[in-house]
Amino acid sequence: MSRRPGSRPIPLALTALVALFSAVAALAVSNGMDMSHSRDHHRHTHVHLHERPAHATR
Amino acid sequence: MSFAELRVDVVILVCAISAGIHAALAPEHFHEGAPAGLGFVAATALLALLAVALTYRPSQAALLAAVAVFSGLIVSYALAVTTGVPVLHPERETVDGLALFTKAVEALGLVVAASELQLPAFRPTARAARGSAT
Repeated sequence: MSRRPGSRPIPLALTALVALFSAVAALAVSNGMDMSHSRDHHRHTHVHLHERPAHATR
Repeated sequence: MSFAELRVDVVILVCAISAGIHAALAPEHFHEGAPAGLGFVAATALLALLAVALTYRPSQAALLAAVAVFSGLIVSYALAVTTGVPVLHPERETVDGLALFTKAVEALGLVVAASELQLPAFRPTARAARGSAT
């Protein structure tokens, strides 16, 4: 397999740009999921701590 | 640009997307353990090498390597979410959207790269053509 003389492959700079964009998007999605998980955990903990005295007074 | 060249470009882009995602997730996996992090670094390096090789010297060997790397990454993830990967990632990983997206992109690259391979076993030869005529 070889390319014809007139044809040009995707420039390596464009390939690198795609890789960089993918990395940034992956970090954004990954951090977003972590923050969502952390917020849910915090809310769950807060509710749990808030409810504990009510149970204790019964 | 021919259809075959377009398919090689698709494989190059898939390598770039997968390499970027693996590079971004490598530090997070180093927190889980050095072998898991090193696995991600190795995947990133292999995918980057493939992208460069397919850009400058597209060959059957490079396409075969792409098929092998994509297959390996997909099988590794399947093991990671079911039984865990021995040594690299012994604990089972939870399934998440980003990983599924990455595997879908790699599966596309695998299919496109495999379709561009010209395996001698499946190529009709002149002798076979003559034999069928008699």
